[in-house]
Amino acid sequence: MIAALFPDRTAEALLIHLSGQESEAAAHEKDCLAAIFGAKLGWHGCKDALGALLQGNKGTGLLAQIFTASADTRLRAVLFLAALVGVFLIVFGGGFAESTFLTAVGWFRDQPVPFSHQHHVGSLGIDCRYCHSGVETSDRATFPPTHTCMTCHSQIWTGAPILAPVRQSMLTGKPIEWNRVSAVPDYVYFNHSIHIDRGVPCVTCHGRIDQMPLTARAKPFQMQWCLDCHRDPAPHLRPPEQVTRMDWSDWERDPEAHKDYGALMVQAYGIEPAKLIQCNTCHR
Amino acid sequence: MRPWSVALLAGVLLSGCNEMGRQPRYDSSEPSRLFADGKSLQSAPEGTVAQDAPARLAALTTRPPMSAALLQRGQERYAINCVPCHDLAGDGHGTVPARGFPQPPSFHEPRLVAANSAYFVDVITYGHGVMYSYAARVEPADRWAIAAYVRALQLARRAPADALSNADRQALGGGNGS
Ligand code: HEC
Ligand code: HEC
Ligand code: HEC
Ligand code: HEC
Ligand code: HEC
Ligand code: HEC
Repeated sequence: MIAALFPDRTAEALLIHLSGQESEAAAHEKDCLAAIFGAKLGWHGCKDALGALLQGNKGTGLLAQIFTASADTRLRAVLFLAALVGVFLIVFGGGFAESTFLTAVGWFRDQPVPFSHQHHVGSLGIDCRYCHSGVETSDRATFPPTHTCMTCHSQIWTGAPILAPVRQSMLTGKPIEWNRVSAVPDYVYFNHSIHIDRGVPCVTCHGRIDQMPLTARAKPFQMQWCLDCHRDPAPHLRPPEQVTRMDWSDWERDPEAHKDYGALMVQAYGIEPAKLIQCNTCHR
Repeated sequence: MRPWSVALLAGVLLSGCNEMGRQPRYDSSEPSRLFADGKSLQSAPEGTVAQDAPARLAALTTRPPMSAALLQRGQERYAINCVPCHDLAGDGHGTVPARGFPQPPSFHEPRLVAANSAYFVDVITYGHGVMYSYAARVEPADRWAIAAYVRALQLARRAPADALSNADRQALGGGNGS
């Protein structure tokens, strides 16, 4: 790599020049150059040797011309670029950007109350909209106010220690602070109501919530994932009155039976995929 | 290190910090340091009247005309808000009472069959006994829709079989009714 920094001719000229000289300092320089090009001394070792030589000003001054401040900088630049390429390879080539560490897919978060969708949705059969009442009418699905939990927990599990934060919140009026698992960055505009109105079921974006004892993100909420559907929403559309249904295996098992539904709905609603993938749909 | 390399390094490191992803604004239900109670969404000062208050009050006091659309809306809202306790048929055997919640009365008991629709709207609005109010979750117009659907449930249990059309009786299996 070091050799690459110096045009061949410079090195050659230098060697020829040095071999004509007999001084002790020149001999040192010669050794050192040989060492560099022979890669015997490490970069630092030789630089130190050179530094000592140059400071004593015993040399020919030629080395100082080669090892100028800019040569030093160029080396650093090359090393730096190499490091960047390495990082880039790990992030994109090695799949770090797609890894669940970044997309947070499947990662649970500690919650003030270990709320279980599996229990409330899966076994009690409560509809999503009982708690997330804004989902049909606003951009936000909204989190249930404490009053909603207390609809039932004023009567059942009234003494349970795990529900203490709920009772505390009801008493003080201070909302429970849930830790978000499925947020998109602030520069992205998302709106639930349009998706629900058009019949994109919750499960498409949030996965089998009804099987989650603790809530985790089910899909990588990356731009590509949004765009994949916006380019061709037809296969994802379902009857809007069933958006909260979790299990669509009957549709998926028998794609023939419903193959026209999506296309017809795209027509009926006047959905234009070309518009849906314009940047200002989501970045406004 | 030279200044430019510091700048370059800082640039690369900073690209990892996504300032635009956390903009200085409040999303709904985000915590806030501005207010003593820590909420970004402050409740309106006491005595505030919402602009749509008259419209909501009107929707609450006037009964909408019966229609198939009203019943359909009522069925959907009933399934979302009432079924966990009152069950699909209105008998009160929902999954939540099965886990120890007090048993709600059946909508088919004579007292509730005799009650008028406004009574159901009232129960939804103000709650009843251990049942909490659903005013925050069910819009006034939807309360009438639910009441209409409860009426339909009650009728379904008591309608004489000969009031049905032949086709309906066939669909229900037989036709000798009960
Ligand atoms: C009994 C009330 C209740 C019901 C019913 C319910 N949820 Fe939730 N949901 C919550 C609570 C409380 C939280 C916050 C705690 C957590 O993340 O687990 C939450 C969190 C979520 C989150 C995570 C949001 C985030 O960014 O952190 C999603 C997604 C979600 N619910 C979807 C659903 C879906 C889909 C359904 C219907 C299948 C549903 N919920 C039914 C109460 C409920
Ligand atoms: C419609 C009624 C209902 C609502 C609303 C409700 N729960 Fe529950 N919850 C139950 C029932 C029923 C049980 C289970 C009791 C049993 O199985 O014995 C339960 C159990 C629990 C448990 C403990 C058991 C477990 O394994 O999950 C927690 C914690 C809990 N609920 C939290 C909440 C929170 C937080 C809310 C508000 C977002 C909430 N619940 C809203 C009915 C409800
Ligand atoms: C098209 C995909 C999509 C569908 C369909 C969808 N969600 Fe979401 N949901 C999201 C995204 C994206 C976010 C993150 C929004 C944000 O951070 O601004 C989110 C956030 C949430 C949250 C967190 C709190 C909030 O107020 O936004 C809840 C709760 C939630 N969704 C519930 C539901 C329920 C219930 C349904 C079905 C009725 C549903 N979602 C359907 C994509 C979807
Ligand atoms: C499974 C399919 C699907 C996914 C995934 C999805 N969308 Fe959509 N989105 C739709 C459909 C269908 C519409 C309705 C288009 C219409 O009616 O014109 C829509 C509409 C929208 C609109 C409203 C457009 C308008 O004209 O106002 C926004 C904003 C949006 N989506 C953002 C997002 C974002 C952000 C994500 C990813 C976090 C996302 N969507 C993921 C299917 C999807
Ligand atoms: C369907 C919605 C949607 C559309 C359309 C869309 N984006 Fe995005 N974009 C997103 C989402 C969601 C993210 C957040 C990704 C994440 O968190 O990893 C994002 C992130 C970005 C970022 C930041 C990337 C990063 O990793 O920090 C840039 C830049 C961007 N979008 C540019 C564009 C441009 C340019 C267009 C038009 C060609 C566009 N977007 C169209 C949804 C969309
Ligand atoms: C969490 C369980 C629960 C849910 C959900 C619920 N109820 Fe109730 N309901 C009850 C209980 C328990 C009673 C009996 C209350 C009492 O007598 O103290 C009751 C009583 C009633 C009564 C009878 C009042 C009387 O005079 O005896 C009506 C009418 C009623 N509910 C309607 C509804 C409607 C409509 C909904 C949906 C919007 C609903 N309930 C949702 C638990 C529930």
